[in-house]
Amino acid sequence: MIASQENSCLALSGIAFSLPDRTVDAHRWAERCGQPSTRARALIENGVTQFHDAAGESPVTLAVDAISSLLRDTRTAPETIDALVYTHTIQTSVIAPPASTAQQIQFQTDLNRALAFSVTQQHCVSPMAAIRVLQALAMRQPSIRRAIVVCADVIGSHCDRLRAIQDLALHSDGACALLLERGGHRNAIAGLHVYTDGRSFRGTDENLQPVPDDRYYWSAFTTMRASIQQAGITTREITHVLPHHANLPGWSRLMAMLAIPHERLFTANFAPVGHVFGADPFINFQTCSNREPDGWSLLFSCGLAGCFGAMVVRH
Amino acid sequence: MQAVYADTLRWRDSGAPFGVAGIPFPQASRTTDNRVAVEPDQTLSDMALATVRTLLDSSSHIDASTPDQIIVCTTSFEHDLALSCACRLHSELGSSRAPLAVGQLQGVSFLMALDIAVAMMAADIRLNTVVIVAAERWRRPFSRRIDALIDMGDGAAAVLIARHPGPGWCVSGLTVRTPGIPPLASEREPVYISTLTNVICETCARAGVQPANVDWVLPAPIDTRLAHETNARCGLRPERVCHIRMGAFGHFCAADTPARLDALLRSISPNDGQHALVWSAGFQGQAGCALLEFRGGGS
Repeated sequence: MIASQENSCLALSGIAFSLPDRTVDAHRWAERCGQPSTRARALIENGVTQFHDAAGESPVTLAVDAISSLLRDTRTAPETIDALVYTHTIQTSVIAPPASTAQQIQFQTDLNRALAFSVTQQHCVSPMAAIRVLQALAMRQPSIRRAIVVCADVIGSHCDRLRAIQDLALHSDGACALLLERGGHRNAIAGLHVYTDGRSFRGTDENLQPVPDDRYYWSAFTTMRASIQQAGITTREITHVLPHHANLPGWSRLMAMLAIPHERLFTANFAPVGHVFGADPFINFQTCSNREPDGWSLLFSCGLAGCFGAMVVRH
Repeated sequence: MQAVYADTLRWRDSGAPFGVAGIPFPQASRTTDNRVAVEPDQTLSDMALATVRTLLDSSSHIDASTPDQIIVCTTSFEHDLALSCACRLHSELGSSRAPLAVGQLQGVSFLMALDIAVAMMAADIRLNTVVIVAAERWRRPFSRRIDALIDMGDGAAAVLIARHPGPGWCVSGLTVRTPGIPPLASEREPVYISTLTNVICETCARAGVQPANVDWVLPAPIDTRLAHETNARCGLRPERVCHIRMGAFGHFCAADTPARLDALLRSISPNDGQHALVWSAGFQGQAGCALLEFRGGGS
């Protein structure tokens, strides 16, 4: 709704991510949290095998690493970046306030010309919300030609039990940096729709576990459909569906609702990477090797409080 | 809850030193501790929600009972790990677009949100009303007192932006800068003054308004000497500087600019075409400026 394909003019020119080397498997996680082994087996049955563990490392470290890789891989000079937007899902994925995490990341990555701020409170949809903001700013301010969105999140050292989303996902710590450029010919963002279901702003029980809600499927479907319509294409033209790493069984239902063949769902990262908050679809976009020119990718994220986001990228 | 916040406190305390870099804010005397605004009961999102409801109730001349877009500005935490203040407001007020929060700029977050709101409205002709609400509430284990003896106060303020024939204040120019300076630059003050001066002069130049012709100037609540020097360098007239004092003490961070702007605009009787300029500052070199023009409507 915010910006048409012609006017938004931002392309997803590069992606880099940073995951901690240390991984913890589902059985070990269950032991650490005092959970029964049946919990680990249930996770594994749903395609969830492990997560990446930062072991208390700062999200700034992960974000700086991802941005450094992005700049290096794309041969982009730091002084050419006009905006830096930091996003995160967990409130505590920042240096204690009032310190500015965005400012620290900006300084450590030499993005000295960039306008640095954060876009948050859309949970795992915050990176897409940040792109929506940048689309609007770029349309109004010709000086914004190149921007980075970086998302970084870590589960706190003492909050390991919060890694699980029911038996459907284990959160991984990590960061992902996106390079957005005006007028790029490849990987243009053709559709972007963010939707928040206002019927439930909390969405969790007293143990901070998501409350099951069948409206999830309809909201996810309509959000993806809206972004596809905004791109001016049909679901038949979607060559790659790049999911968030939660509720793998539910993706079968969503693919059926979208009428997209199941083999177009990219799941190679689901088990080894884990659910890296808002980074999943972008990590998938970067690692999905068979993206051919003229194809279309559909990226999807959702989060607590009924937050949904979908993006269509023309390869 | 202390365990939940252990990492974030450790990152701050063991990493690059956090300080009030680049900006001498007025120092709170220790004897004034008990006068800092403290909200004992309401949560941050309670405060934000109540403030927005008050704003909408007082804006009956504009059709904004359900605003299209909500933008939240906050520096302090909600202290409810899974709760998004923006999503709560969206749910309770029934706004039509996905809400979001803008932050990490401390005192400049509001002007960044205003810039985003204006850009969103320009990009989407069906986006008619945006509410920006800034709220701060400081709770343990986060200290109200930061370096240089600044005491953070609790408070909230909200602004309604609407497509409306007037009368009202229009955004004529807006600039935000975030220089990539070290967290505690040793020679930061000159850098900081130059950033502030640049954003003010750039804002006026883009709007085609001479700084000397600005009718009301609302500076950030920083050291008086620095504020005076900044205004003077930009050519803003000292007699037009408004010294708005809040009814409560403390630094209100993201909520400071909208709260004092509201107080200023309520205290004056503008004529068509007059200008008010507000500039604000973050703790780490961030600077922002907005130039507002009063339009009496009817055209």
